[in-house]
Amino acid sequence: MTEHTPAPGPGGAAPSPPGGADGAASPMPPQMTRVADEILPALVARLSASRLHELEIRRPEWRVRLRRGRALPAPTDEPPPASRRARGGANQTAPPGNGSGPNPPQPSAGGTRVLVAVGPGGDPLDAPSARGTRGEPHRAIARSPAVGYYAPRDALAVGQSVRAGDVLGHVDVLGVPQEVPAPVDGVLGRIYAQAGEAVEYGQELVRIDSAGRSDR
Amino acid sequence: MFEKILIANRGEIAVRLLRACGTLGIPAVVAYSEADRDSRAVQLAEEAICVGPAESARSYLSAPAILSAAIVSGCDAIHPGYGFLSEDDTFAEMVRAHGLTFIGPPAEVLERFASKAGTRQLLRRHGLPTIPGSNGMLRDDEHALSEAERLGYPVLIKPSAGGGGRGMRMVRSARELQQALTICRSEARAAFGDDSLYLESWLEENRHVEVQVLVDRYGNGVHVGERDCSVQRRHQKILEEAPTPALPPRRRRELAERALAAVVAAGYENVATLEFLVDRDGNYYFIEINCRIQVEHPVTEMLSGIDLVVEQIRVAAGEPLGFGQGDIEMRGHAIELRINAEDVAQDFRPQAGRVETFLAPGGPGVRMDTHLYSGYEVPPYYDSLLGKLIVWGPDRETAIARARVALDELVIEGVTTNVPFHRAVLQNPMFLEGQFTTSLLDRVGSGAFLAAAGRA
Repeated sequence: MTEHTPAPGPGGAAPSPPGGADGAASPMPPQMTRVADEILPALVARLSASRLHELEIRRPEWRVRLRRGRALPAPTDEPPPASRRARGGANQTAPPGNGSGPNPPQPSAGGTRVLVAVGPGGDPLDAPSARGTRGEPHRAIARSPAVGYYAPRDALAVGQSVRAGDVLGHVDVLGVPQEVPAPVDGVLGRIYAQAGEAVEYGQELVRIDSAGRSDR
Repeated sequence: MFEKILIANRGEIAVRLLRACGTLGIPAVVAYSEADRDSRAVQLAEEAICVGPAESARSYLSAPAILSAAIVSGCDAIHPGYGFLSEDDTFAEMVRAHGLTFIGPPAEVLERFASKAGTRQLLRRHGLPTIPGSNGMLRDDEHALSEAERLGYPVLIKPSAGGGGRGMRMVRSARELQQALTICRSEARAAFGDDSLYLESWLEENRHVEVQVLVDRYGNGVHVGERDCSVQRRHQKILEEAPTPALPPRRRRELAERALAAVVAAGYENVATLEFLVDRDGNYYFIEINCRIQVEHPVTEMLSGIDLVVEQIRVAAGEPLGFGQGDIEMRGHAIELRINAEDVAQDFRPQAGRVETFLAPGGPGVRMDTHLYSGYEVPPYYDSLLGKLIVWGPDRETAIARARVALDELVIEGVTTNVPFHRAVLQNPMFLEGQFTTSLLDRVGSGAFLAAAGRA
C-alpha cells in the first residue's frame, strides 16, 4: 500500500483534504480504516497476482474498486460519498470534489490505482470517478445547479461529444434559466433527467464518459 | 384548506411543522440543504427536496430556491418556521404573486411591522406604553449621541431589522456608544442585511415578558397568555416559563388584553408575540413584536392545550378562529429549556460533531421537541439549538422538580451541551424565587454562576 497523499493531478489544483493537508492520512470513519488497513492490501495483492484488469467489492456501507493501470499522478479530489435516497425524493449524490471522502492513496510503481468510495452501493458504472488515467474511461456527472424544471438543449443525445463548459441545458428557476455546464470533455453516456422534469439541487442530469485526455 | 405544504426550515422546527401538517392530514414536503440530507425531518418526510448547498444564503434564505421547490413539488402553501424567511415581506409577496400562500401574516402586514423603530411608534399610537427611545432610526453617529444624551445613559443600541441578540449592545457612556455603534452596525448588516439602528433607554433589573396572540383574517383575535423569558445571556433566551412570576394574575390579564387590542387595531393577522420589559415596580413597556411562530411556543401550548402551529395553518387558509377568548383556559405552569450544542466552559462556543447517543426523557408533563437521534451529525453551518425540553406541572414547584428529573434522564453524548447550565439555573435562588432578571447572568458572569451552583 502506498502513502495517502493527494497531489495536483491533471486539470487543476487539489483541494485540501479534510483533517489536514500535510500528507498525513485524513481521519477516516472506523469502517474505512478497516477497509484500508486489512481488506485493501489483500485485494491489491490478489489483483496484481492475477490477470484480472479490474476488481470491485461492494458492501452495504462501502464499495472498493481496483483497476490496473499505468503509474500516474494521483487523482486530485477524493470521490464523493455515493447516493442517499430521500424517501419519495430524487436519487441524491453529492457533487464531486466536496472533500468529504477519504483520500485515495497514490499509485504504486506497479501501477494499480485504487479508488475508495464510501456509501451504499449504487450502479458502479455511474459512480463519479477521479480524473482520468491515460487510455482509461472515466465518467463525470452533470448535476442540477438549482431546484426547478430541467430543459436540456436541443438534440442532446447519448453518444454526443461535448467539451468541458459546454451548456448542456438549463434549469428553469421561476422563469430564470440557470445553465448546466458540462463538467468535463467527453461523450454523453447516459441521460438521467428528461425535458420538463422537476429537479432538485444536485440532482444527476447526465453522465459524461471520457476516453481520457491526449493532452493537458 | 391547503393541498400540500412546503416546510421551508430545518432542525427541530421542521419536525414540529411536519407534525402539525400530519395532524391536519395535509401532505408536506421538506425542503433541505445538502448539509441536512440526514436530518430527522428529511427522514420523517414522505417527500423531501434539496434546495441548495449548506450555506443558508443559497438554501434556507434563498427566496427563489424555496419558492421554486414549492412550485415544482406541487405545493400550494409554504410554512417558513422561525428565523430565515419567516418575516421577509418580499418573500411573502413573491409567494403570493406565484399563487401560493405564505403561512404567516400577509405581505403588507409584515411590511407594516418590518421596522422595529416604526412598529414602536405604531403600537404606541394604538395604546401600548413603550420604552423611551430614539425617534425613529439613527441617522448617523451624531444623531445617536444626541439621542442618547436626551434619553440618559445607559442606553441599549438595537438593530431595526432583526432580533436574537445580534447587533445589540448596552452602553453606559458616550465613548462606549461610539465604539459600539460600529460593531452593532456590522453585526446587524451581517445578520439581517440591514444596519439600521435605534436606541432604547436601558432599564436595570428588568424582566422580559411576552404575550402570545392569534388573529384570524376577519379581525377575531385571542391572546393565549404570556411567557417570561428573563433567563437570557447576551440578549439570547435560554429558558422560558409561563405564567410569569413577575406580575400578579390581574396585571397579566390586563397586559395580554392590551397587547391583543393593539395588534387587532393595527390590522394584524396570524400569530404574533409582543415583547415587553417589566421593571421592578411592575410597569410594562412594549419593545417589539415578532410576526412568526416562536421558538418557545410550546410553553403556551402546554398551558392552553392549543396547537399554535395548526391554528397558524388554519388562519392562513382563511378559516375563522374556531374559539373565542372565553374558551381558552390556561392551567398550571410550564418551563422550557433550550438545549444548545455549546461549551459552557468555553464561553458557550457552539459545537458541531456527532451525537453518539441521544435518549429523550419522559413521564407526566414532559415534552421534548428535537431533531436529534443517535448517530446524528450536527452540522456547523446553522444555529446551535439541539432541541427544547418542556415540562408542565400543576404549579411552578412541580414544574421545576420535573425539569430537574427530566434533565437527569436526558442523554446527549458526543457533543457538549448547555445542560450543566440549566442545572445551575434550576438551583439558583433568584430563579427559584421567581426573581430572575435579564441582566443577571451577564452581570454575575457564567463562570461565577456555575460555580455558585456547584457549591449549592
